Amino acid sequence: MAGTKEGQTGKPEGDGMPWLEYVAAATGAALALFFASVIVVEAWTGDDSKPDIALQMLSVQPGSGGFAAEILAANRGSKTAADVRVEGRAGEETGETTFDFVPGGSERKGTVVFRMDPGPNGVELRVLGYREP
Amino acid sequence: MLTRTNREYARELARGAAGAILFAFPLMMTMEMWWMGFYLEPVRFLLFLLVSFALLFGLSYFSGFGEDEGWPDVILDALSGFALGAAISAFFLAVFGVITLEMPLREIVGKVALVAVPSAIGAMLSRKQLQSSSGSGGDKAETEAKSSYPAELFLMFGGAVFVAFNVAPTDEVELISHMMTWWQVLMLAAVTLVIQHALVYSVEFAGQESWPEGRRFAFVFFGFTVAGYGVALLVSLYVTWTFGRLDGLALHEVANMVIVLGFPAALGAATARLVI
Repeated sequence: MAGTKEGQTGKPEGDGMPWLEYVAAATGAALALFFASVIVVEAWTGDDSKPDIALQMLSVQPGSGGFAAEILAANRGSKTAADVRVEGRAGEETGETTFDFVPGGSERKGTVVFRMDPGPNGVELRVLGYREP
Repeated sequence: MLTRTNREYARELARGAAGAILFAFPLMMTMEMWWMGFYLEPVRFLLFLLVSFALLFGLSYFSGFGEDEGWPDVILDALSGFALGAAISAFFLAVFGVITLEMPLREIVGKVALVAVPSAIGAMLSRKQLQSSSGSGGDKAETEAKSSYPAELFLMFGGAVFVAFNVAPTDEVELISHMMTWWQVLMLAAVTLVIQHALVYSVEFAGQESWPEGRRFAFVFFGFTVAGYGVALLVSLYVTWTFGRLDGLALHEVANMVIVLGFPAALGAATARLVI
């Protein structure tokens, strides 16, 4: 096989190994080590704390369906929380939203909609519950 | 001594990239796959990367390029296959919006690393599969030389992992195993075994095994088909465990799920010879 190919192109190189091959392999090795080390760090630091969801109001925008209160759910724990249900309360009104997943150390955005303008500080947010993935 | 120019090697890389896309796009577009990327247990994730690398090195040894000679080249090919797999996965996950710069490093790495494995396998396989047929004669002779019994089992392992992987992350595997009753599970196991035997020895696909000379049915059936099914079940057990599907399950539920995933795994094991 090698012989025929060489014959076809007629361009044999000195040591028979193109430098591109080393570049590609070195990239693969570097990526693999990097991926592994990111996960090793997670395993090593022993941080397998339970999900801890912190909620924060970002903004209130009037929309066609009412007033959309954008919220940020940040998981301060290291484990993933699934089906995170969040309730927002503004006076007599309540609204809710669900996040499929909030991975450990990550943030996800969502929106709770109210009929009346709750104002920037008028929304009380609460996590109703979540489960393990 | 093999001689390749940079230009030829670049073309091989392009072939590998095409294979990575073709073989792995279903998994890039499977949401459970993305989720696994961030919620797999670190220890299982690491173990999985190790097993995957062993598989890549093995595949590189058995298929890689027909021109492979010696371990340095086997290792270089496996590593470059992983580089391709990771690059292709990262690119498409970014294009699909599955990974964004706002996500923490761990989430991005998890998603890319997990999808990179099937992509890398695709890249390795395609280098041989999509190669123009010139010189495949010598290639074949070399492959034949490597077909010892442990080599057969390894190839079955590779095929099982690769095919099982395509459905293993989905919720359907779990759902199906919950919906089946005990006699349906037994029937699936029996049918899997029959199909596997037929795929390897009877249906006469190109690249199919020829019946070992002078061997009786029992020898072939137990030595290859049943052994292959065993490999498929072990792969199925390992993969479902890695993906956390077995946690908290009763023993008979575990058996159900392993047999359900054992079906695609066995198809992969049986057709490994056709693909690899």
